[in-house]
Amino acid sequence: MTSPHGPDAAHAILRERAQRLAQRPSGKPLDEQVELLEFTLAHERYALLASQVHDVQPLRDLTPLPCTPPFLRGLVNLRGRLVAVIDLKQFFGLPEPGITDLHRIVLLRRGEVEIGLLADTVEGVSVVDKSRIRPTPSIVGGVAAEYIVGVTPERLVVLDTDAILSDPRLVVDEDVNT
Amino acid sequence: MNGFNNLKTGTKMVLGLGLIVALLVLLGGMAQHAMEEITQSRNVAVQANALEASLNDDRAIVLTLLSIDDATTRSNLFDEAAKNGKSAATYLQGMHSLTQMDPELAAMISQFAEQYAVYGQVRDGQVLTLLRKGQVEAARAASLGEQNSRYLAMRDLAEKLSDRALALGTQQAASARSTFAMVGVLALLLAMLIGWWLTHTIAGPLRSLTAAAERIAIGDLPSEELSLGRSDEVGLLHQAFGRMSRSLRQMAGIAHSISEGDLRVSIEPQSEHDVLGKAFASMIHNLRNLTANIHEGINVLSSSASEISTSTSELAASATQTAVAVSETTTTVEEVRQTAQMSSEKARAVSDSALRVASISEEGRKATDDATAGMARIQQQMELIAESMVRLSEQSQAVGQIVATVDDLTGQSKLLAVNASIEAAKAGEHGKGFAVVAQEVKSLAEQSRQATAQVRSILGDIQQATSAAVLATEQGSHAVAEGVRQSTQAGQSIQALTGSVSEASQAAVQIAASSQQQLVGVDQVATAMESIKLASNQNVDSAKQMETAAHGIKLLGEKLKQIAAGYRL
Repeated sequence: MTSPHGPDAAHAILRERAQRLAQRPSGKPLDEQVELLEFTLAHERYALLASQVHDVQPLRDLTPLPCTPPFLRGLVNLRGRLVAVIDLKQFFGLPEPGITDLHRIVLLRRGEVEIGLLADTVEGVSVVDKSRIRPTPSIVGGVAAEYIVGVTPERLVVLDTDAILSDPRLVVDEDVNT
Repeated sequence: MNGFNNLKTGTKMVLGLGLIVALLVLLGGMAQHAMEEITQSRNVAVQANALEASLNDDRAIVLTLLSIDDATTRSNLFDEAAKNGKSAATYLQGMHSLTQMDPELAAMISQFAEQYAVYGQVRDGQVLTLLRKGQVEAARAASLGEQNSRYLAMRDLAEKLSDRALALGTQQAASARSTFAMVGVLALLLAMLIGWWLTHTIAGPLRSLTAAAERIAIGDLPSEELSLGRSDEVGLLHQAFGRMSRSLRQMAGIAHSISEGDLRVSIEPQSEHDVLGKAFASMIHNLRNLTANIHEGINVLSSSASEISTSTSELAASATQTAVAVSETTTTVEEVRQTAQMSSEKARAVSDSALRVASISEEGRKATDDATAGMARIQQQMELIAESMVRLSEQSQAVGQIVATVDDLTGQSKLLAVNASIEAAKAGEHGKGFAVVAQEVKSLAEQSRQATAQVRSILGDIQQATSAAVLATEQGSHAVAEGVRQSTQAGQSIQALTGSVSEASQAAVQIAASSQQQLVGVDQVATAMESIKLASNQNVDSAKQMETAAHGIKLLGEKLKQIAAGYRL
């Protein structure tokens, strides 16, 4: 079995890759850089500060809760703790393609509050200059405007973890009229 | 004389014959007169003799009476004497009535009458009276003597009277004969004269008329005038003959003009019984119509003759063309004959090859049997292949499950790498190195994912190919089954073909025979075509003759037209 590019091409690829890895990181100070956890919601790219995320878990055994608002998709059991799963697409007015095993849960925790955000895919953690994060455009309003920190030129929407966690609307207190 | 001529012929005949008849009547009268005179004379003579006889009887009776005594006889004799006296008186009376013709005779009769009167008185007054009284002597005396002399005188006188009367009769007869001869000759002459004249006035003109009629009978119409200027029947007959002749001449003139073709003359019938005039008028009318019709007919004939002439010309041309065509056809038939010969040979060859084909088809049948068996073997092999393909499909599905497991593992690895990165970020400056490790782990997980994607893609291709192979195997199996069926069918077909070929072989033999017969038939056709060719050439000659004849008819039509033009309507 021979490579279609031949041994010279393979050498060129390896050399190029080695040079890329050998490149030093940019000389900017680390304070001006943030690490963002990038995920997608209905093919749109969103991000959270990686330092504020507890961890990422696969979506397993989602139990829907009756008599709850639509954004609360249900409960999951994560290492013995029950975590509510919030679907941000309900807030951002994005289309709902349905839930599969491929979905991920981005777990946020502050004190006793622990919620899971439903994400279609999780791309990974990347490093971005703070200066590249632009303020929210004025045309965005409503709940979305409250959650968004800013937007990068790559159309990566950076969400505010604190705003989400402190939103009183996420507190569910409803009764079923019997 | 002219006036006499104008009398009717009947009148003339009556006049002539009347004259003759009058002469005959005159002659008859004269004869009657003469006969009467002669008869009177004869009667006088007879009566004179009778008187003499009566006197003799008287004398005899008286003498008898004087001599007998028988009473009866005497009575009878008295009666007889009385009767005798009466008859004598009658005779005397008759003689008196006849005495006008001759004075001498009349004197003699009157003398006799005087003497007889005296004699009678004596006889009746004395003799017979005395006798009745029976004084016979006195009576005898009275009867003799003077009475006897009277008797004798009277007897002489009676004889004289008789002679005189006879002489007179003879004289009268002679006179009458001469008169008759004279008058008869006269009457004969007159009759001859009248006959001649009647003949002259009637028969002469009739004879000339007969001659004229004879001339008319033989068609010679006299042009001279036939009239005699007379108004009797003969004259009228002449005039009628003259009119008839004129009429006939007129008719003859009309007939002449008709004969010269002038039909414009018109005839008025002279009366309603004019048969000839009507016939002529009708004839001219009919001739006009006929001539008009003949004109039309001749025109039609002329144009028809022209058309016939044209037609016959065309016919002649057509016949020539036909002859040429027949000639070509004969050539063609000859070619057909050669072709038929060739086809006969071919048919024989086909017959031979059909026999070969029969044996070849037998071989073909065996070959199809072998093919059917081969197809059955192929079907078994195909079933084996299908089972293998099903197994291959199941195994590729198992590989898919394994790949899915690997993929799941890759996802978990990646998630693990992300969590490691998050932990590294939380660790801050101390977690930098760990972040790099986490990045590498994530990179490996990504590569694993790509590899499994490639494997899945390849596996998908394999599955598709397997499915296609299964499908193809299925189709192949079907095709093989179809092939088996078709080869079986082909075997049957070839079986049938073998039968058909053998039939075809027989048919080819028959065709060869038929072809031979056909060749013979075509030979006959060729001969017939030769005959037709000859006939066609004769047709050409006939058509040319007909053309000439039609030209003659055309000329005849034109000539008839000229002739008909001679009739002026």
